[in-house]
Amino acid sequence: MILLLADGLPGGLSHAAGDVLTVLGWLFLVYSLVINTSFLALTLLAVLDFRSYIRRLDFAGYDESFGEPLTPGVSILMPAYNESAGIVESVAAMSAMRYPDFEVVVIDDGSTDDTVARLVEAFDMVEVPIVVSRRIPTQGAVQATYLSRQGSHNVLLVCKANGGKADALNVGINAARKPLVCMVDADSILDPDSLLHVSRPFADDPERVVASGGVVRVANGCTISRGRVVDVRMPRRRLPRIQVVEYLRAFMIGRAGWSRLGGLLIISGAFGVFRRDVLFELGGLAHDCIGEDAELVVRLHRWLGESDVPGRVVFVSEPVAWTEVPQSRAVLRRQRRRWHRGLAEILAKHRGMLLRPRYGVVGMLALPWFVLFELLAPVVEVLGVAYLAVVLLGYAAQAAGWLSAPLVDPALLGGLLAASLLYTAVLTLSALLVEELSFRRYHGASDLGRALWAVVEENLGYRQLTAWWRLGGVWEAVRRARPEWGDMQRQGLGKS
Amino acid sequence: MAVIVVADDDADIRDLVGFKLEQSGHEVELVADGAAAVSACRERRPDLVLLDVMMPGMSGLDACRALRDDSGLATVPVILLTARAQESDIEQGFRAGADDYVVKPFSPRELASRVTAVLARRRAS
Amino acid sequence: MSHLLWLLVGVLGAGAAVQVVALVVLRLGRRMLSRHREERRTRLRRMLLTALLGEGDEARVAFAALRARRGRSWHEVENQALSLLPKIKGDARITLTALLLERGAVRRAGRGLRSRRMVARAAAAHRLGSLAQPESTPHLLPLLRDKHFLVRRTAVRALGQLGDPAAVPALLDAVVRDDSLTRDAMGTIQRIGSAAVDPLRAELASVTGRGVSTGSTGRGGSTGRGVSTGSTGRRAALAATGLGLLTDVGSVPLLVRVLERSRGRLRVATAEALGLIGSPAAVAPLLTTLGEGDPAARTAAATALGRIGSAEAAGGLARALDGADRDADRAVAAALLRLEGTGREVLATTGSPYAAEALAVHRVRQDA
Repeated sequence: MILLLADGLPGGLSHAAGDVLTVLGWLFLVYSLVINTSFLALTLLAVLDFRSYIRRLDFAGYDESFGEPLTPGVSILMPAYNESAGIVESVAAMSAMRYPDFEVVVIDDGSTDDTVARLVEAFDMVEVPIVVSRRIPTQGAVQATYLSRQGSHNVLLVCKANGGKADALNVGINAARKPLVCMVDADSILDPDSLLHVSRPFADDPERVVASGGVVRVANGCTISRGRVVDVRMPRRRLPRIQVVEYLRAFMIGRAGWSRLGGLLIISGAFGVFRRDVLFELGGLAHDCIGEDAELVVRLHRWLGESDVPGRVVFVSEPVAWTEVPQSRAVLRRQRRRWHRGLAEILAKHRGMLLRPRYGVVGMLALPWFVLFELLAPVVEVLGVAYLAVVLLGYAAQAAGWLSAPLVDPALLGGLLAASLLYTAVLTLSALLVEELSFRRYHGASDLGRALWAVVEENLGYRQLTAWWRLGGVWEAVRRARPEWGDMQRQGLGKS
Repeated sequence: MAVIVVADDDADIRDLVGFKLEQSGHEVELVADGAAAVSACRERRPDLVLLDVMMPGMSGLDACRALRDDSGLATVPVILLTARAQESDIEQGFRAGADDYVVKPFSPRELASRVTAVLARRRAS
Repeated sequence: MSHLLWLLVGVLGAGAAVQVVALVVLRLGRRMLSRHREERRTRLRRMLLTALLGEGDEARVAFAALRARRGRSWHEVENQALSLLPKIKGDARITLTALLLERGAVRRAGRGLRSRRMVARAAAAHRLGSLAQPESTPHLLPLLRDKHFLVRRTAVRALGQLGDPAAVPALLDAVVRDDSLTRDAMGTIQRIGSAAVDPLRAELASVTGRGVSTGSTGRGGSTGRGVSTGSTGRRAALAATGLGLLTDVGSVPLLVRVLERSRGRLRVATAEALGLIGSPAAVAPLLTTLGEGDPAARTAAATALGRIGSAEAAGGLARALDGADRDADRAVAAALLRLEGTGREVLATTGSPYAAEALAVHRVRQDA
């Protein structure tokens, strides 16, 4: 439009359009600088967090504390809906975790496939009348409860009428028999010590820690045997490869940084531990929103602020839940739309917490940050791409002789682009460096090459594409379309 | 003399036990978890198995049960290594089919003599 | 403006380049370095094991070679030796300790305790713990007040390896100041063992003198956590927990006295302790606790009654199965199950769903 207007207009107006575009370009740069600098600050905080964590490992004797008294019991909740492909393997892996006192509660949310039959057969389960509390109101009624006759009898299956993932988790909380509740996606793969690590904050600070979350990493490309990641590799396919570095930056560094600040807003649904009494107090997970796991944590902060409970939500950076990320565009698109729609809905629902000192770091810092730099980021990103297109078309117009001068000085445009792209790359590289200096899960020169290439690739197309999808998510949130259960096409764990 | 499979997730313990038993003239296979112990046993058909009770993944007790359920290994002698000198542990161990147990921290010399004793008892029967 | 912009681009570009180089160097260097280190470590390990477990001349030669090491080369020996030390006992331990003492390991660790670096203090405490020399106790106690959690925790655990009962009051102080040390301190008390009984009893007895209250159970009733008021009650509750973990039968009368007169967290802790000790003398006061209001105390009392396993508790337990609190009901059902004979009859006849659950779960366990 600007082009058409500029064409055939007096030079003054064309200049005015050029000035506007130049200023706009600078504004984009300022946004990019602020967002990236804030992330750099989070990275520094994360480094502090990791450093103190790794120091502890040497002397704190965590390994010995395994057998010690007063370790709180954990109920692992695994909601499942038509997961027959991988369910047996995930549950077997889960029930073989290293932890003194835990049970696995699988909640079948009215699957129409043979999920239940497979579980019953594989774990030699019999129907047992386990009392499922009604403290959290649920939609789908409990139909039957089964208990495994194998091993230490710590696998429980609750069959219920379909009601959605949040409803399944709520039934699980009602059925849980231990003081801590761990929420895990049926398809995430946990390291054998994950539960020990992630429940540690509860043992370290029992009075205050109310929830803890673990790192989620990308399982694609890794060798998986009997439901465990045994060899960590970079995936060879493009989309998963980019997601590895994306997860390192956003989930590992970002969350550790926020945790250090005391403003951890998101605990991944793939791996989080909560105090059961607090979940009862909160009334469980919300049915009416998409990112029910994220919403729960925001609501938890809200409750802490309103009831003046000095609670803490912490992030554990050491191992780890692994999850299979989408390999195809279509699935990735669905996932990102869903995530962003969830974020938009949560922020809208809890907008009352914004900038209220009573909610502490969460209200004053974390929520505003999420609004400015998560929720609005795709908007700015897409506008930026549109801006670039306009300016480039302007150059074309100038080459064709329609415009006398470029709308924006090409050198300036190059500088703006280079600065914002390089800054993002610096951030991602910092995440890789922190990983290299701390947990070192990846080995070998070729995997490093793949990771470095992914840093470049992320900026060429991937970011812009996901921004577009995320924008779609915001749009959906505005239109309030109905949510659906599954967002991923899952494979059996052994196949990848 | 005898083939012995040793499973412990602690590398120090593996080194200590491995060294002591090799010195006593045994052939030792060292593994770090219960599942690896079971597969090593299926392959090597050992004369004796030493299992740490607390290991990641499959615990020593589970591994012991798995061995007892395997027709070829049901009679192989098992000695448990346990960090907790608690009755419940030991009781569970015997119920899982263990022949003897050693409490950590352990005396390497005592461990070696227990191994000899268990092997001798097995040969006699 | 645009100069600034290009400066920024230059800085970012240079930063990215440095990062890439650092990544490559770290990744490739690490592999070579770790292989080299691994080889050295294995050679040294072989030598240590030969010196400790070997026989005859071979062992003597290895021992002499270790002893002759100096500087960094000795430092490696010390690190490996300290890693092995807590895992062995008998003559191997004696040999190793003698070597370490002769080469001044205790003195070196003692110097580390006064370091300004937090990690150095924690490492020193850890070493003193592994060496387990009784005279180290007074040197470790000040570390319980260290400003860093890691140092405090390492000191608590080291005191467990030393096993000196003189540390008990200081341990309780440390937990009162910082709840995060609870588990470690209890583990330490358990390691100190029966020698810790006297100081613990003294702590617990001190509250009976002045009328017992303190500590209310907060929202998190079921987990027994809440806001505590007053450090005396907290100390007493810790002492009770400790006596329970040590299963000290001699403390039963004292614990019963405290149970009857306390509230909140102290009451929960005493009930739990009585259960762990398992003395039938505690049945009557536990039944009283069971009949009262606080769900956390009721849960603890029920569990304790189950542990004691005395049939006379069956009636009281049956009455407690009233659906008022889920955790309490479940604990009561579990307790009745443990009473066997009479308890199971009660479970079979009562209408509580928790009774049905307990029996069904029990059958599953029996079948397997």
